[in-house]
Amino acid sequence: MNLAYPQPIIAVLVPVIGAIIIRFLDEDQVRERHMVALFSIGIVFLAVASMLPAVLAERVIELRMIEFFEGLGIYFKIDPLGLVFGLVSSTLWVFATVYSIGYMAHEHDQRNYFVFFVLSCSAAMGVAFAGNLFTLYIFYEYLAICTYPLVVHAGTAESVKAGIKYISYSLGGGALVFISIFMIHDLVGTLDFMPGGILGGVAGDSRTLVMIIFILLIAGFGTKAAIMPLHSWLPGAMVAPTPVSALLHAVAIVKAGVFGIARVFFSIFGRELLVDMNMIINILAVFVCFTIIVGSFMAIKQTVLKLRLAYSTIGQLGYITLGVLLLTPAGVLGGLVHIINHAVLKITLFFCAGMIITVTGKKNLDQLHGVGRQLPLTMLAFSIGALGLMGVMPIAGYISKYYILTGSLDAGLPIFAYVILGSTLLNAIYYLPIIVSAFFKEGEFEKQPGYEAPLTMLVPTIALAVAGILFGLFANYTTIPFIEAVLKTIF
Amino acid sequence: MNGAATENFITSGLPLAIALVPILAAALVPLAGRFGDRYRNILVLLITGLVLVFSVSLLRQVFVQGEVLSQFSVGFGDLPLYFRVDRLGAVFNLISALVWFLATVFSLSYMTHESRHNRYYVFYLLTLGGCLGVFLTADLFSLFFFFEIMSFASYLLVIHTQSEEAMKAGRLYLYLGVFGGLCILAAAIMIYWFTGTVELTPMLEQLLLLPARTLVAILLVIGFGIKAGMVPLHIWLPKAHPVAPAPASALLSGIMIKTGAYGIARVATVIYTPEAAETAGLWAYTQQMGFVLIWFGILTMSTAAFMALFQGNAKRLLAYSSVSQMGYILMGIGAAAYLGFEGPMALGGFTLHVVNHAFFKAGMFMMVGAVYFRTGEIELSRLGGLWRDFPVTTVVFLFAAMGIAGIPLLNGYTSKVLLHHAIVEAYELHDSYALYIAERIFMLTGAMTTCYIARLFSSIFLGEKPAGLTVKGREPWNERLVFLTIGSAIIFIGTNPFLMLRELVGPVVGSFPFDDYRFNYLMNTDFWDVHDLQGMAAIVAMAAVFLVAGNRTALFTRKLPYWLSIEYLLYSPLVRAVMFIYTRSGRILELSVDSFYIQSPRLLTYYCISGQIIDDTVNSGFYATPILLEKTSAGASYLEDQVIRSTGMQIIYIAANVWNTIYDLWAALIKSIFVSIGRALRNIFMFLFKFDYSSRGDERFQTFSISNIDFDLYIVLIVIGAILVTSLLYLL
Repeated sequence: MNLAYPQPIIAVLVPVIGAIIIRFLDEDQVRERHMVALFSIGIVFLAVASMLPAVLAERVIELRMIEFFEGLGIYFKIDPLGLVFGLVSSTLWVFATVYSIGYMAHEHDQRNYFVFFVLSCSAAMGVAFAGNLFTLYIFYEYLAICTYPLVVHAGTAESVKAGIKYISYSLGGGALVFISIFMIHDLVGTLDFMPGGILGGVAGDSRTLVMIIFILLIAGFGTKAAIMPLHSWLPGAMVAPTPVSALLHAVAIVKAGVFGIARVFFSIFGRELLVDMNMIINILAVFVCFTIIVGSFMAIKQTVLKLRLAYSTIGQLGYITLGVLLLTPAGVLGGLVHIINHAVLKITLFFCAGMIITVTGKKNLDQLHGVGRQLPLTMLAFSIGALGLMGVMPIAGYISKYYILTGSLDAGLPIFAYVILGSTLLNAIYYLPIIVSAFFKEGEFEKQPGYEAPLTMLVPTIALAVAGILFGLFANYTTIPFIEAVLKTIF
Repeated sequence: MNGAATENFITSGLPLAIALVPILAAALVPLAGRFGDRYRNILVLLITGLVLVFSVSLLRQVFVQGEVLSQFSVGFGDLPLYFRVDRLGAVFNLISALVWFLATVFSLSYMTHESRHNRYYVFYLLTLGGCLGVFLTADLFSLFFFFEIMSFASYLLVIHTQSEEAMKAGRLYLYLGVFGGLCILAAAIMIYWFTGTVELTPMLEQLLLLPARTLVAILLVIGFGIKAGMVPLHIWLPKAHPVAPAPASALLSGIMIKTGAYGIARVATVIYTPEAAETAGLWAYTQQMGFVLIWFGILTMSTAAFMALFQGNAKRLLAYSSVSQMGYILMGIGAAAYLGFEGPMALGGFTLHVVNHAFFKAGMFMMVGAVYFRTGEIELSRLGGLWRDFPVTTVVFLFAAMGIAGIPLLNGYTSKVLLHHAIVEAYELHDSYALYIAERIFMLTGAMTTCYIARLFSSIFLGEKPAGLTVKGREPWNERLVFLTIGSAIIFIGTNPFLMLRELVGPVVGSFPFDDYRFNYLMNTDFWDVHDLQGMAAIVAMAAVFLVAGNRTALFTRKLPYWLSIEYLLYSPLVRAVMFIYTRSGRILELSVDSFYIQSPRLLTYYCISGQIIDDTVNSGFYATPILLEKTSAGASYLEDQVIRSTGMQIIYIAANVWNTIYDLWAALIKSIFVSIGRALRNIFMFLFKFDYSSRGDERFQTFSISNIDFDLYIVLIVIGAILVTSLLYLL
């Protein structure tokens, strides 16, 4: 136990302190509040980023905090997978904080918003750096609870209703994880994540039990990963303010679910065991394919921009899960790299949706004809994000699709390749009309120079859109090396 | 002779330059547009001219020195853009570049009445790069790359006017374009996965081992067939081609649909053919594929020609005519595959017809566009008698129309003769009665083609000029130049068929591994054979009968009912059904799981309330018992008082009374305990499930919001913080 690397604790604690400070500031101390929020999130980002060299050098960073009893305690351990999630979340949190400052400028109750916005960062970091299932569970629940006030921030009857839905789903999923924690602890006596899995040794004797644990864990984390039929909270939670939708429902929360699934797969069960259990994996794959296809179809039906993005998220999360459960190097690489690519591109889309709402007040798609004339930069960024997620060449999304496709062929299951390609068509059907009608249809919008959203919102969006292109063009130098470091621990 | 030239490879940057120069130059267009329209037009003209010059020199290289290779790494290291140009590709490339150049010259004057020039020219050049790239690439992935660039870029050309109709047509174009591209990609991935290469080389030996070989073939044919306008995948074409600006329509119909035909040709006559010519047994698979393709070609040419008869819009008529002509081309591919090793005739007809169709169809679209530009009218019923106003256009249009109808001494005749010979060869060599019928339909389609094209020509240029038709000026010199070039090309090919055969068709067909005897047979084709001329005369006679009969009965001005269209019968119910099934199943899942989660607190509350009711019932039973006992004992004591009077009984009576009292006390105690426990439980549950948001009179149901959650959360937060801080201190 050493403190050569105190970064995990900093990443978890600093936002808590920041949140407390914000809580004790006055509602009208706007400047100070923004400073504290930005500062604490910035520190988190720096702390996470500073661990990068050590992790890439395959050094172990671990902090065993408290042990309630044998094998059950708070324990941080940083491995490449956790660092990828932590780095993506904290980076995007910085962008989202800047964006929030612009977006929330005219909203009520900003103090509360920022308290929980900063606080959820700590929870996300805890999820990323958890070293055992118990810690993961604690922070997973913590994340659900402290994002609840953000979801219901509008305070309307609709948002309260959505909040109830959100919290019931989250806690329900958490409960399933909780049950499985005790089953695993009973079975092997430890909950620590190991590169090769911890259940491999006992699987021979208690096959049924392992199967039940698998189902419980997947159902538990699958709730957050929005695997159908557990997805319905996600579109519901779109009543939240847009930066929250962007960050939490395209990046942190849903990715925590996917990350949880990846963790469970590779650190609890281990690859060999999963390959043995191929029947249940195939059943899960059917569910995931169903999610991808049906989610995309549902997205076509939506007429509200944010809802369409939400259903698109459901389909895209399906790609990640699909890639991970292919269990071939290319598939896992594609799935995990899609965590990054989807995060960057989808947050861009949500930011654009938020800017459209802020500037024009329009939410429905049929009100957005010709909006590209008034907000050219916004819609340009939107087009980049949408085309990227469709898989158009130089933008990041095609990389993940390509690797998942290769992975499914490596696994000898070309059917998944067809699912991906079919859903690409559906992606095109629900994204292209938005772009086309924004630029080429006549609407009520006129060309008004200088009428874009404020810079605090525009700059992060454009920066992320550019990042999306860079991650596509230079994938081999930006995203892929991280994921390859992750793969080294798995295969 | 065969395969002699294919051994020689030379590496050159030309293919790369041809494909990428327009794509890169597209970025310069808006820049030049800033300085003025003039500079931009000159730039575009220069670029297309440059591409034309490159294409000519590429053709020379390929015809003289053999295949041209070049390679360019982009994106992934393992999948570079890989170009390999053989003679077929070079011919396609040159004809495209030439027509593109002519269309650019035509655009100079035509586009003056359209707005958004910069956008038009940007995507005009992008489309050029994509389209030419398709003809030059050596593997399916590179081909797909350029194919998609072309699809997306040409979408902007289709919707250029941004009218309601154009947007609608464009939407269909875009979706089907993406769908077709994905079909190709899926097939390419399957082939790559199985064989490890996607090069356009014969690989039937390996593909026959692939379980999904037929699926792959179907995917490829669908993917390219959509672009080629193959019936029944043609639905986008009659919608999209008429709404684009005339030069763009000319390119869409004249050139871009050829990419589809080119792709199918590569699939049927290259990929799905055996590597070694000797393994003749394997040709059976290619042959089946060819047979199916022949019939698709026949179906396409005949139904589209039939539809063209009934069109009232000049550009839509031409679009249906394009579909029909693609049917000829597809039939050529099909016959080439069907005849396999013996298919030089079919491939020759295919090549020549592609060239011919590019000239006359692009020309006719531009000429109709020129008329539309000066009259503002496109409906046939409101046009007429324009030969006086457009003399050059009328003459060239007449030649183009006679060309498409297949009149001898004009270009359409030459290729149709070859195609007709091919289909005749097909049924004679394989003694297939079905193909004999196909040949009859081929002739009938020829008659219909002549009929509709005669109708088009006469309604635009001949007859009386309708009232209200005003003509603003004549066609300018640049347009006349374009039309005259096209007209002279049509006449040149038509009058020099043997030259074309020797210099163009022969070398192209010769680069394929065909039977020598059959190849020489093609080279010795006699175009002026009396049988062919007789057939042509019969076609013209039949067409004349059709035309007279149709005009007398006003048959052609009728609209075909919508419920006969394939969209109404097949696609729209299919799309709606798929959409319905998927969204409905998703929605049902959502609602059921939602109600489970949302209702679970309420269910628990109901559960508690029902527990309370059970409690109460049991309790009341519990309390009713002593009362009953009391009544019974009261009755007993009455009996005793009246009947039995003895001291012994007195004692028993007192004892019973005492027991009764004790029992009462006990019951009261139990009751109070149960009631308080029940109340407490109920309160706890109510407290827990105040999440239940629907108003039920209790205010606490609705107050779980941000206003009162933060305090609780601070406690949680401070506790977590305290835990972490203490542990930190503990560690230190």
